Amino acid sequence: MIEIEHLTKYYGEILAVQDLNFRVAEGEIVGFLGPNGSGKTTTMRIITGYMPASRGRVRVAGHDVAEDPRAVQRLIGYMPENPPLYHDLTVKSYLDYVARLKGLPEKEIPEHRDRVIERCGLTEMRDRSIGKLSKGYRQRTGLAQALIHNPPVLILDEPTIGLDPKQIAEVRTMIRNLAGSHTIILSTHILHEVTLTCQRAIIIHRGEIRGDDTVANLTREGDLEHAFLRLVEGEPAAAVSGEGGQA
Amino acid sequence: MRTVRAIFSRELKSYFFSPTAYVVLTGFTALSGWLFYQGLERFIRITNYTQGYKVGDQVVREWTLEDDILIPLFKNLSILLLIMVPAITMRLFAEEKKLKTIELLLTSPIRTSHIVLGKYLAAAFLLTLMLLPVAMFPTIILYYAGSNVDSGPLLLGYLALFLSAYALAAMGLFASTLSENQIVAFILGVVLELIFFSIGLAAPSLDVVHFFGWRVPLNEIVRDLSLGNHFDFMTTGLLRLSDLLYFCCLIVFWLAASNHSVESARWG
Repeated sequence: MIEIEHLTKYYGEILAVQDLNFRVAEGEIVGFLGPNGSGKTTTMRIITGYMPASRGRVRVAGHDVAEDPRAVQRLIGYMPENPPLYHDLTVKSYLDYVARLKGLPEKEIPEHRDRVIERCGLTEMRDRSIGKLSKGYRQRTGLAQALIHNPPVLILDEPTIGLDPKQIAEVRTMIRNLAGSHTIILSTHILHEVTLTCQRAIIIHRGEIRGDDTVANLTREGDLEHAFLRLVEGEPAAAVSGEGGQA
Repeated sequence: MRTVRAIFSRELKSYFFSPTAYVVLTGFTALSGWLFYQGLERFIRITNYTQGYKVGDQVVREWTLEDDILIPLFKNLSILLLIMVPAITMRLFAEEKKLKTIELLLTSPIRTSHIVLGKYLAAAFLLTLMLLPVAMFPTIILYYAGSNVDSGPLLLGYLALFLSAYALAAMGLFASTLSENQIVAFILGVVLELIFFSIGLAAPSLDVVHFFGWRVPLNEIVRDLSLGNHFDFMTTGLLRLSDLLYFCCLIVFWLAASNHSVESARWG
């Protein structure tokens, strides 16, 4: 479903990601794991057509994102780390607006909007303005926004960041419920999250892939934390274990 | 076109959901009314004492309602636009950048040019609403002094006001793509507009230069680039294709520049 070949991105002189290669099969949930600043967001932004790669190729369902970004964007639901919300709109009118941006036909919009409102548990909040929602509900609105055009591919950047434990559990359940019908890449710096929601983990560090295996294989010789530390070995341990500690 | 409409109506609603539209519409109408009243008072004063514009003891031009009330009013309003327009356009892209909602727009299956156009049209629509009440001033004059007034300069002056507003809005939109800070976008907008508005003032001090055998009339070039000069010419009541083309070119150029600026922001 998603094919990434030799993906490299420079910001000016600074190398953000270097020669990434991986494929994600249809229906797979892949965890993109790495410390902050490792290149997760950059990679996701390139897949979604937000920014172009310096070198390499990204294809989603056979469409090259550089050649035909709009074909790719129709297939992708993207939730950035900061959900792109307009605080002056209500949940309902926000989702209607996003549906129009995604090119849904006008008469199908209410149906799609009501589906994601229900799926993301926003029924009681539908007429609230987004500025007045709690962090957890904003995150749900962000997820609803990514799902509105029922895309086969979901890209979720740190979907549980900043939520309390109860909200985290709810969002994880929501993501697990999407499995099967959607191909999902989710990024996180929380190791535990990957074992709970993903089948496969890609470990990225300093813009390079350090490991790419099923969660079952990675956790065979102890827990994921050890596998992660082993794969990013040689780096200052403090930064890495600091991230792992949040799990 | 559907996406242009979606963005247009979203932007327009956001003008009217926030105080922006009301402040702008009331502020501009109140100020223009006050300027009209002052112009009228001044006209009454000068016509009481003199017959017309004098050089020595000779009256070279008689006072007229259009030349001494309405055209100066339009001119003053065009200067007021230099502040009002960037106040309207400053948020268009700066706010999206600040709130990171630009990520939603740029990862949706829509063309950047449609985003730019939708936002521009929303600002242009608000400006149209803002300028419509100005029509009451020439209407008042024409009602009371109909046959004595030459309506050509008035109509073209009014048209020039709209065209200036649309051209300045395209510049303001471009300024808004440059920053995520609305104040910075506002000031950049004012500076850019002032340069275009008043560049013609430099004309008298410039001359024709010869550059590698080419004759470059710098004075004519700055005069033709100046928004103020085209505005002034239109208020003489002569319709020139070149004036209309000038405003169209400004709009197209700055919309294209905005499009380019948003696109290049993608490169990080």
